[in-house]
Amino acid sequence: MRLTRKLCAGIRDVTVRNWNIQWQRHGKFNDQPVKVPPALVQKGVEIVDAKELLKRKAVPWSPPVADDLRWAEAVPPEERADWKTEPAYSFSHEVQLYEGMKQACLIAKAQHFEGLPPAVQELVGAVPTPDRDLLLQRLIMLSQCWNTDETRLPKRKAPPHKILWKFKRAYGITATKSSEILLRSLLRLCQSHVGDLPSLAARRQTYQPLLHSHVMYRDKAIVQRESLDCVVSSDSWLPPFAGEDALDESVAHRIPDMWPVLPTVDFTDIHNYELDSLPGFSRERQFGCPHTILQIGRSSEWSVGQCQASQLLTCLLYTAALARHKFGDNVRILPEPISIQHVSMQPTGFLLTFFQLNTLDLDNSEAGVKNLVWTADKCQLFEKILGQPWMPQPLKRDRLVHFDGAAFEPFLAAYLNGCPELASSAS
Amino acid sequence: MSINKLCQRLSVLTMSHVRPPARTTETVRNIHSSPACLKNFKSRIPRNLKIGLYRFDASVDPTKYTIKPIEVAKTGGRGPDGRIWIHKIGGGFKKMYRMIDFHRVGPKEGEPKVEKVYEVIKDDCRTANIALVAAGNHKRWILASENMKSGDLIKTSGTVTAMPVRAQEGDAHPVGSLPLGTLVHNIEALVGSGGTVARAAGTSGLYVRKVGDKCVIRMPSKRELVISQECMVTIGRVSNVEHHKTKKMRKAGENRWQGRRPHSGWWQRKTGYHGRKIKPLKAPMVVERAAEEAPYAHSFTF
Repeated sequence: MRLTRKLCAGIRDVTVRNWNIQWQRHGKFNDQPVKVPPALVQKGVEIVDAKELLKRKAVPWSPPVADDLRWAEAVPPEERADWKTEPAYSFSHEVQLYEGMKQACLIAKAQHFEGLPPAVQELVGAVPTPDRDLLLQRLIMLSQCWNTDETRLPKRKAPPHKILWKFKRAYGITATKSSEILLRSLLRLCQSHVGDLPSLAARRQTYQPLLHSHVMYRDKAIVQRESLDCVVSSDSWLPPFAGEDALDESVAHRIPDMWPVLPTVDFTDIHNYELDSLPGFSRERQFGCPHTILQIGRSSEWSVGQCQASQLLTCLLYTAALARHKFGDNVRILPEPISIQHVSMQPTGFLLTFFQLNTLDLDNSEAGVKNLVWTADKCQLFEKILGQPWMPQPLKRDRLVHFDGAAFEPFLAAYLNGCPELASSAS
Repeated sequence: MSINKLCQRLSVLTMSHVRPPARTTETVRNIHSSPACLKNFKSRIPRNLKIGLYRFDASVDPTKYTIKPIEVAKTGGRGPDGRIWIHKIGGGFKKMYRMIDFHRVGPKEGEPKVEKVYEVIKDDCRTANIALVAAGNHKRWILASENMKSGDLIKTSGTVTAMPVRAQEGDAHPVGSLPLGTLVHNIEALVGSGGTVARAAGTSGLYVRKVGDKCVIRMPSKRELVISQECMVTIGRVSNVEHHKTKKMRKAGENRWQGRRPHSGWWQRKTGYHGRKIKPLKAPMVVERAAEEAPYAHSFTF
């Protein structure tokens, strides 16, 4: 029998509103808990709630043809061949070390020096570049303007005094692309000195070599597996940046702690890793002595200290792989140090870091000889002021100002470091 | 025969002839491409289900803590059936959700746990500011207290001491260890459940008295809360104390930026239900055990 309004005629208040109210208040009952006699529980009888029997059990669907590629699922991490129960720390060029150099020096057991190493400082301005400023300005225009890229640029953040301004979508050259162009151009400019310094003919540039390396820090591995943007190699190893005296003095140096935080706080744990040592070159290669690592800066929001910290750890892991290739897998204190240079390229300048690996015994940051690291201030070739669309011309457009050609000299000095002609003329 | 009696008679009939539900065709429509919002005409969704302001992507695991901000979608006041459950909610600027850890767990013996404050920022999803703190290998976001700044060291202790400890702003102790008259916030109602009381900007509770092993705290609403002496509290007021002065809207559009839709412009006769009411304070709220889950309510059908 259907309950209709006609049926309910004669009943007081047959409005739908009242009907709904009555139905809502009285048309339901609560689940009562299952009452099980204690005697049954003592006997160990299996108790099944009757309501569970009414529930429809979902039958998992399986493809009609087994191993059908259309429904293939990814292999879970636990079933992959490189799964390890003990996790390791993962480091890459995109890991931001929050406390900067203080944190990186603790991990790398490194003594930090401000400025360029003495050997590189002597080379600054030693080799003049004809028409340097004109050439640099051309290279800058090449990276900033003379490129047909029309990539969609990231959305700009409005300044505090114009928080509601809506920027129109912009197309042009991204910061990464302009950094790459500037990097290759500067390397070409450095290589142009081969006429005066024939040993530069032995330099090779390798793009996207794979680095797969690890170091042990407090019984846990820090693994880096990524492609470096560019590595300059030569036929001879870089000379050490510091002598025996500096190594002896480093024993007494105390690296400041960052209690209550551990320096590995910014790393993520991974279970799929391999403990390999692959610096991207084989030992038998003719120009297999790495000279300088060049990488493109990943984020413009990092501070200078955070960029330098990332450079330091990359140098540590790279030289660790080189040390294992040269002296064996179980080396702790190196018989002779391994030196490497690192350039972090940004759209308007670059950061230089120089690292000398003396020991791979990183567990105790206070005792023993330390590794050495030199960091220079940011070398700014020019400054780019972004356009302000709400202002009149010429402020509406992007501008390149404050050009400084002298900022190129440290880059050239780092590139020329290790040249036999300059070393013999200096001596 | 009244409606009530009719319903009672019908309930008897329904109880004795229980049949499994017949196979019906179900219509499903995805709302905003989220599995959490399926419009199922045959579903029985409890109307007392609480819906939040935000909806996470299916790839986000809310049980796995992360300090990275998460993109969230707004519900617009819509429930799981796609219809409006709460009116006057919708729009507003995009917000990034940061997982806040309201638990301050300290060692019950020995030295307290020390954490370093890395930065204090404004959070889109609440009125209070939040602080990024780190200890050991773990980083997390917590509610920032009034004068908390980058570089501070805050302590968390789980020891209930006989002698009251000297209260430092930002530290967390069991409420039984604190001196009377301490301003506290992020107050736990049940031991280990995380702070639930006094979390809004500028709010604080006042530790008024101790009765046996229970502590009485005056909440920001002036009502008293009786909790165990082992419940954790954080000392001081919540940050962003000037929020009540700066939140005033200069124009109606500011309300829309916050995601509040306009009220109805229809003139409605004001009754005794409207207006401010001044009533005596309710009795102190005694919290002894977790509230039991309400039993599931089955609706009658024809």
